[in-house]
Amino acid sequence: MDIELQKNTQETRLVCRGNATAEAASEVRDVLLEALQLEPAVMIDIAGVKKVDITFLQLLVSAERTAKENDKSIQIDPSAYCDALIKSAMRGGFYREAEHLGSSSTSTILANYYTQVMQGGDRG
Amino acid sequence: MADQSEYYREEARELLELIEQKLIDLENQPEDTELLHAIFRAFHTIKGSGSMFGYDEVAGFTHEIETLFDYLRDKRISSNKQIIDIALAAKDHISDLIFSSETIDPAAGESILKSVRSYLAPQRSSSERSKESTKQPAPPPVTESVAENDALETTFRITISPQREFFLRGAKVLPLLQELEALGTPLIFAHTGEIPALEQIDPELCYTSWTILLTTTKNRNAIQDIFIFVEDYSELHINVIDDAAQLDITSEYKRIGEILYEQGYVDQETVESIMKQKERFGEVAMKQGVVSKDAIDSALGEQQYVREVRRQRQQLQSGTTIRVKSEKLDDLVNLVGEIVTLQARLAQYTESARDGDRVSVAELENVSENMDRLTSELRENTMDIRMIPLAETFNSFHRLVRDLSAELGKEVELVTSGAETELDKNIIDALNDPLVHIIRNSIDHGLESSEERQKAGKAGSGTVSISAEHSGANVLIRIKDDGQGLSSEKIRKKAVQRGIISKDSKLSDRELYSLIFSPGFSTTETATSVSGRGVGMDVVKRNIEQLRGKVHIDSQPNLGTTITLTIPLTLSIIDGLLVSIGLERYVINLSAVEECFELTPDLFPKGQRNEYLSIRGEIVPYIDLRELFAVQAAVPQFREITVVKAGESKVALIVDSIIGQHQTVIKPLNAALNFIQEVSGSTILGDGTIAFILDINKLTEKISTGV
Repeated sequence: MDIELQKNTQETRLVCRGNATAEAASEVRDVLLEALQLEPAVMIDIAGVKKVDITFLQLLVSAERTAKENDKSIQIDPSAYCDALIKSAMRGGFYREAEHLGSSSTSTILANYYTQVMQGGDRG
Repeated sequence: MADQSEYYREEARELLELIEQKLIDLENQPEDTELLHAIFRAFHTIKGSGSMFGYDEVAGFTHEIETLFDYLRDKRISSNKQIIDIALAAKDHISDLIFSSETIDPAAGESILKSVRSYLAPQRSSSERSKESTKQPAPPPVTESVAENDALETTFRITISPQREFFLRGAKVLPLLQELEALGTPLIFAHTGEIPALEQIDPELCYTSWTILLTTTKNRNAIQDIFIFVEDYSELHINVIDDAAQLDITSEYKRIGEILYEQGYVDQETVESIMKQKERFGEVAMKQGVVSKDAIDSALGEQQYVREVRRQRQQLQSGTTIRVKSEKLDDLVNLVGEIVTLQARLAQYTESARDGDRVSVAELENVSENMDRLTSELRENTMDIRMIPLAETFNSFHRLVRDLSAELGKEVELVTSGAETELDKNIIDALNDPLVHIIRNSIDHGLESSEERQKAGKAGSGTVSISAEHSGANVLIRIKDDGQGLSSEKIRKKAVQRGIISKDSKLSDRELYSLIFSPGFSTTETATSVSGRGVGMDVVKRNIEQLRGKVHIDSQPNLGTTITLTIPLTLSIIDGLLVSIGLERYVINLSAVEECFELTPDLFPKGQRNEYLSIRGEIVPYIDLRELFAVQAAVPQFREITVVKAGESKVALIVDSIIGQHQTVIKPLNAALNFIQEVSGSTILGDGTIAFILDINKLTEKISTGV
């Protein structure tokens, strides 16, 4: 998988492409950690992510926890609809939506992404 | 085919109940050949219809049991306790084969058959044996296909906690969860509390565990198969949390504390200490840092999920079948015929009136009166169709008592009376679980062991009697044991300990007895409940109240305890008394009404308004419903009183006016209004407006508890 830290004047973007799976987990962790050490706010761009497994979901939760501890912010860019992430998070029980239960989530970073993307992000 | 199969199951259910009842009788009357014939015939029918409807395994198994009874009939062997035990086990096995959603272990059936054969073998002639040895091998069991067609749904709670190295071994979670989707729609909760911050995380390890709720017609093995390759490096638990094979009388489910306890997140002590705080369990537990938000979320999710599953099933169950005597249907058809005739007469009058002919009031009155008669007959008839005798329910308790007394090593005799008493089918279905629980309690806690009984100068064998009788619009069911009775002192101690009453509250013995129905009283019992379903006495009370019934308990030291259930005959239509308060109208169950009269100032003792009225010298507490419901509309000059009775208590209800008798079709209250305790339902009046039905039990309770 390709992962790249892009800085511009408005924000720091972490652009991910390819398979966000166990094989790439160490690399993803390192880049996430670096980004959060350097920047106050990080936006993860997952438009090009094709496959997601539990290791990536764990890293997102971990990154959110780290950001919170250090008074920083991290979120997933809701302008892209990433089918792989949504399906895996749902199937993995990190986010669920059931008619009689309302919706609930164990992770705010995933919940925020899901809510925003459903509210009118680009469903490409 | 589905309908036919349903017919078979219905028939088999009845036959199996009959078999059980006759077997118990046979134990006491081993010489009764009529009983043997009846049991033989029942097994024979189960076998015959079984093979007709594709229940081949049932047919094969039953064939051998039938042979056993054939031998008994022919007196080639004679009946004894062991044979009865085998036959009862066989009955249970057949029931499992037909109704259980789980795959039945063939070994269970085989071990029963082995015992059967041990009785048959010495009796068989050598020619019979040689015939058998040339028989074709039995067809392979077909349980699975039967189960797939007709199996009932079970809800499982699956918890999987992978070891940290799970992913390193090449195992993956998502494909497993995807496979579960093929069995049903799982609800999945990831527990992420152990995921560390980025600095500490080893990204290739697994920090997450899962709780999965799955409602499926498949059995436990099907689920286990999915996890078979990862079982070595994860901890897997599969528990049944709801089973459609068990009749539910309520859609209620365990409390959050219980669920968390079951899942091993909290211990019993913590549950009890948090429950004492009388706040929402989840909030307190989270505040105290006892459990994580994930755990609370999944427990809450489980509670809602199971409630929903049960609610849906109850809707389905309300469509279950009922056997009706054909005469009852004939009567119904006759009545419908009369209504059609009456309608034709009415149409004729309308036609005449349209043509300008005069229709006399007398003629219209005649039609109206006839209509009135027909409506009430039709109502009675229709209600009657729903009425079934309690006998079937009572009979099933013989087995329960037999098994329990063996399990607990106590000698117990069950005596039933009034089994012919009829109740609405829905009520009978809903009564089963509470009755089972009460009987279990009586045997487990009420009756002493034989030695203790003899020491106390009683017969060694204890008696539990269960009786039913009509009382007005209610049926009274009494469950009485001749055991040690309740100890008011012990109850007081436990109630103080559990924070239900304060140390210095002064309560009568009867009030103390009724504490066993308080929520939280039987907490320990709930967690280890013999019933296996975690039903405490508070749930019994709640369930009976849902049927608009009442529970009453009486006990005498060393003489025993009597629990009386007062159950309304039917849930759907009552004779009511319509009253008005302000602009609203209310219905009071007529069977509770003692008398009605005008409210005059002399009814208040010494002319002052206080808590009591003096009615012909008798002091009766009253409730002014205007005050209770905070009615603002103008007070009429003359108001009226209706005196109602619930159990032993009498209460005068002051209303604005009494309108009169009213046939009341009860509609349940919307869940949003459930908090209004004084009202048990609603009805639609002739003019389309709504009237609430007052809950007399709750109103009299209000007075007696002074709330």
